[in-house]
Amino acid sequence: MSEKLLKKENIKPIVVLSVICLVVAALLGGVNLLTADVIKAAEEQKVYDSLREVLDGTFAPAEIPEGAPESVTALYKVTDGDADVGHVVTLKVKGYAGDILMTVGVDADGKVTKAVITAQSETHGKAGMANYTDNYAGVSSDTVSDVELFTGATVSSTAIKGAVIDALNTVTGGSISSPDNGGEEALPKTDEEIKAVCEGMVEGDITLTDLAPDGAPDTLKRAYDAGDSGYFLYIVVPGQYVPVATEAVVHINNDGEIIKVNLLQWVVGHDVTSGDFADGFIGANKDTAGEVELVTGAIGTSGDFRDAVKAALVYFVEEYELGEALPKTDDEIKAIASEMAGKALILSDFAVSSAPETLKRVYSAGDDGYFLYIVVPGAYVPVATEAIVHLNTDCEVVTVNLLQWVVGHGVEPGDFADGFAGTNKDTVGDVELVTGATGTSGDFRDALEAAVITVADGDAAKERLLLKKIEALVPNAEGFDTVELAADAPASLKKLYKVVGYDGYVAYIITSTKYVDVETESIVYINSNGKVGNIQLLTWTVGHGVEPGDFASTLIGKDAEELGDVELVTSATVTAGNLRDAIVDAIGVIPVDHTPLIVGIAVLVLSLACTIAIIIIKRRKNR
Amino acid sequence: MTSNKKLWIFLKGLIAENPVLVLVLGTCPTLAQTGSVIAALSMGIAATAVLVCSNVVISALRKIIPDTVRIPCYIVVIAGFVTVVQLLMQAYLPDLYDMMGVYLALIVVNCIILGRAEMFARKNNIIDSALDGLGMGVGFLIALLAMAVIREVLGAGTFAGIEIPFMADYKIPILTMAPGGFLVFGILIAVVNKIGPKKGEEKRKNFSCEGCPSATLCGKVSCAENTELVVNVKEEEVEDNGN
Repeated sequence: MSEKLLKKENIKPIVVLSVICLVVAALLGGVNLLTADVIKAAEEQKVYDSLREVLDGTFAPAEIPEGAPESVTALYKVTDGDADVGHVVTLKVKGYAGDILMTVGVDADGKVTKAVITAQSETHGKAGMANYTDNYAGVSSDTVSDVELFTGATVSSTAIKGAVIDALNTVTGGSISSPDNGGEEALPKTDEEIKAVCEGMVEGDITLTDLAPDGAPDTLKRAYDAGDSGYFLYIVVPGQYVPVATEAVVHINNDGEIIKVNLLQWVVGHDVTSGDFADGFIGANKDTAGEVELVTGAIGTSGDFRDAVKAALVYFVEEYELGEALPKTDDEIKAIASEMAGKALILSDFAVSSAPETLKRVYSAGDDGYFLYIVVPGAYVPVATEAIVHLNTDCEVVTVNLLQWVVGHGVEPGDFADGFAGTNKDTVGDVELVTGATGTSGDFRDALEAAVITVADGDAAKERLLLKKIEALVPNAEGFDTVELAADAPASLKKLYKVVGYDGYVAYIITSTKYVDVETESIVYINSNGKVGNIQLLTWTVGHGVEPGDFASTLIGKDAEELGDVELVTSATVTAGNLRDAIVDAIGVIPVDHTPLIVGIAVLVLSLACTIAIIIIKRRKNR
Repeated sequence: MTSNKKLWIFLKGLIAENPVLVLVLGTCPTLAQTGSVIAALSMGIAATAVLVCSNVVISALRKIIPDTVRIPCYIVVIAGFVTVVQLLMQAYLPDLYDMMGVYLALIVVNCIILGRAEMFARKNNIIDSALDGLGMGVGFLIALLAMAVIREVLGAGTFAGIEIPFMADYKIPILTMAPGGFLVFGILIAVVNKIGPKKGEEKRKNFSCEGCPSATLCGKVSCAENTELVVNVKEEEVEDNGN
């Protein structure tokens, strides 16, 4: 029987097909070798051409600030000699039929110079889309929302608009919200109508900037910044007792006090007018708004409205820090920070939990570290001590720039500020105070110490430092995603990251022993086969100064079973053993991906089955 | 074969058996890439290159490739050549490459190429196959250009991207869109069939069953001239089964 199976007619087709495939593959490989570099160069050329199309000058790659929109793929700073020409942002957004690559130039005034599409596969003609992007020339953060979408290509144009907004946000550090593609709540009034009402409430002209309040209470639908005139809040409270909502525009000043409440719609079941209810809010702030007298006979509706106003005020004052006038504005602080660094920085707000009162602002400047803005109220004089402190990415003080220092009797800070250079959270408290102004300098030093500790110990900073080390461990990775650990995960496994753009996971392990007070911290890269790919010991302390030596490297390449046989460090067997066990536990947590193997086996089995079936059928036919 | 015959192999692809307008093959790229003259030109040249190359290779291998796997083999060869053209275009003509987009890769499944491989290349020698490929390719190109000129000039008021001054006010935009494309296509087919050789007799003389669009319906018996062919084929099959 096997003779018949191996007959020439059955073997020949397989052989011929395989040979042809191999030859063609070789040919393609050859052509690819020939053209791969040329293609790459052409693609890069296209990108560079598009960069120069939007802005002219000398290009220098810049680091994308943290918190920048995900769509940003690269950022360039453009200068002309010493003059700052602007920035160019390349972005990748999801369009209708695939990704759209865009290049947007933003000049030094925050206006878009030009937006071009460098690659797209949208279904509508290129000509139409190319002309559409012309609409964005000259827009700024304020006017970008007004650009209309492209009829018949809503998804594509929304993506483009989103890209331009992201570019503006990245360069100006702003936070305009991206356009919604429908699914937005229908409000009783359109944005234009609301703004018209706001403008009608004040004398003279005002410019209103849309704010996108994050985490605002549900009833606060819109908020507008009116510069010196304060803010306008548009509140809509659903009717509980009637099917009509209560609608109002509330005008507050920059200190968070209500100037006026304009009740646009007020309906109650039984014809009670609001009367002086709205006026009762005048002068109230977030603390007193809850005490405004309600309307007799409409306690429910007026009560709901009063709660909404109070909630809006509380949220707004906290979010935008009203009533707390800082000596310097955000822009001024950022400008001074850039001067201190000696180059233009892109600063983004850095979140810290439980910041001390004196730490007013924290900015992250990417690889340049952090900038802290500290204001210490004057205890001995009615003037605050103000400083901008530059920390590097390891949270060590680089420079302290004392913007304001006044003490009662003309004592200069002298070298006080310089004394902080190079200190970290542990040593900053030891800096020498200024003789004759120990009170003021002491207060400042305490504030600075608290600030540095907050930033250094803050989870965000810690995580960042950790991620930097992990990046060095797995250089081919594009990024790392935090994996949530189950409740029964080993206690030594503190963090687990999935590697993006490459396979495997990284485990952050902390083990301790009863022999020493200090923990052993390590990061381990485990590939998808469950083997240790790379490991770095971040800290290693044992009671009697035994170095780990090559211990870490002996772990590399081993899977969970083989790790059990690894030789431990002499005289530090417990510490080394705990670490090894922790790594084995971590490997046990990681899901091993079997899909490629399963798919491969399935394909093989399937094709084998088909071949056998065909041969059997042929034999039956020939019989 | 006389040189006249050889010439005819080339010439028949231009009008008499124009792949697009007579054989009605490869309609997808025809409709997609005739919105502009430059796109039509690129598509026509790319397809012709692949057609000639694949015809030559398949003809060269025709004795080696067994019948049972002939389609996969043809596809592999065609796909290989299309990929080569793709890579070369991407490297040296990136603008054209961008303009053609996905339709460049779709040449692999362009019926003309597989059709000619089946109908002609596997039964004829290399030179004839090359000529046939060239003829069909040029015929494809001519058909594309004809459509593209009409659609671009009358539909968009431009020719190869150059604005035609007086057309701007008289253009018919629907011609650049799908419905207009089908319209132009249909009219062109009608015109060519009218002025071309009479379909009735020609079909029986010069067509093989595989080349006839009605082959599946007629069961290979309605063409009187082909009855002999059919009988021969049936005899061969009987012999084979006897082995």
